[in-house]
Amino acid sequence: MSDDFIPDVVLSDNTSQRLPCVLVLDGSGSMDGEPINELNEGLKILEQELKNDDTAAQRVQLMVIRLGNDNEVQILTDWTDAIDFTAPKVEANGLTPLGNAMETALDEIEKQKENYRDNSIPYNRPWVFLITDGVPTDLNWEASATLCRDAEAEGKAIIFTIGTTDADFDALNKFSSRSPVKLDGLKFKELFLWLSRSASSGSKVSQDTEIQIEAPDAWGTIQT
Amino acid sequence: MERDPVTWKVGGVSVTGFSHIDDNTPCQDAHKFRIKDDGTLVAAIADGAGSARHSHVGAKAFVDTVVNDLCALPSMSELQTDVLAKKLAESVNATKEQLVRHGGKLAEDEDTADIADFHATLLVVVTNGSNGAFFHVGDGAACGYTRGVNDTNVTMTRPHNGEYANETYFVTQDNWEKNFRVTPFVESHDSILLMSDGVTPMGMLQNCTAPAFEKFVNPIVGYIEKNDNEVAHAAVTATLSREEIRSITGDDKTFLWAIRQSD
Repeated sequence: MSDDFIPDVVLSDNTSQRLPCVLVLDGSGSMDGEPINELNEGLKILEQELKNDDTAAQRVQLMVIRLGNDNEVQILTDWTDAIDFTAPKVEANGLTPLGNAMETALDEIEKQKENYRDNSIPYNRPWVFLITDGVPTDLNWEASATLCRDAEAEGKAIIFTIGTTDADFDALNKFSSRSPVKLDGLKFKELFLWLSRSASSGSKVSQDTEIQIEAPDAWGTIQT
Repeated sequence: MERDPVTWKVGGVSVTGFSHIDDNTPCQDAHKFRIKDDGTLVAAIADGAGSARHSHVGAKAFVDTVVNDLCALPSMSELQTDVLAKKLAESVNATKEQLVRHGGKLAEDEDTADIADFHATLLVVVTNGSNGAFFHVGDGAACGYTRGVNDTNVTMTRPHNGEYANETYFVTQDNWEKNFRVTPFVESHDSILLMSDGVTPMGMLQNCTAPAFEKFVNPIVGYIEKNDNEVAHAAVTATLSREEIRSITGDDKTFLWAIRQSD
């Protein structure tokens, strides 16, 4: 039957819809060794999985932000379509400025939305994933966390916080209305597999719902 | 003087999206059409939300009931849009009540009584030989067009999403009538096309401002005009099943056409 299609029909995507997704990754000293290696391996898996999925490869746009050094925030990967994404190598040294990093993520999202609007590109509600093993070290992190919650309440983005065993879950809880998720061991690969699957399905939802993504499965436990 | 009834070549397909094939979930789109004896065309498409458990049941219930109820209205020589809109709203509200009462049984899930499990968009067209209207809640898009000597006269109903493309409005929401849009057209267009949001990225231009005539609409409508309906159904289904679409959308794809036949 597949041979019976109508000739001369051009099947092109005239809308180029995008799903913006920011990864805010902890590159502080405490991540050194196995944790940072596993995180980097996870990023490679994310790259491959997104490229293997035809819809996600075209639709997902990624930005990777690293925090570390002397309370510094670095954009490791500026907005890139998943099909062109190369996993950056995250290094581990220095402090944990979670607040500054999350503010950068929110700012970059609003700038990117303006780009989308200028070019008439439809976009999904952006996702931000904060992944850390530690405790925020920037002085104003609580004010930044409030900004994050406000942004979520205004519908600007959806924020997910994920911590390894020793992370400060009370602090993470302040960055999002969603409870933080505790990573089982160092299952970064499973985490990024889930992220890739979720980005691919991107189900349609009603305007009045908060459910936009399936619950974590084989990699973490929701901290209630 | 009595007019002869208009005749239409009408058909529709709902093709399961690639992501639903991969996940083994049912097609959540549905469509239905009927032509009354007086030549009035009533057609509907609905798109169930991927996030709602039984949205395929909801989508089917809405198109079936709404088309039946609108067809039950007495014949009108000039279609009265307000009468049709009122009937459609009553039909949607009655269907919602039925879904809350019996939807669980239909979905083989006795626990279900939450209308949000049946979230669906709805796009309806009613037209006869003299005028018509689109009735629309949510996304998807439709166009009616008439070819002139120098230009093409088009009536559109566009998707309603708010800021984000993956969020839309459903007839199953409490305040759905606030998002109920009616787009009348004063002539009976030669061609009417209804598309769910799995088809609009290809079938409409950016932002759904106009149909993609050259790349998509003209070849398909031309083929439908030249072939009998059975062949056209198979060919449209095959076209919307092509592998190239994987990189465009994983969503279900509904395409419904009504082409006015010359006397």
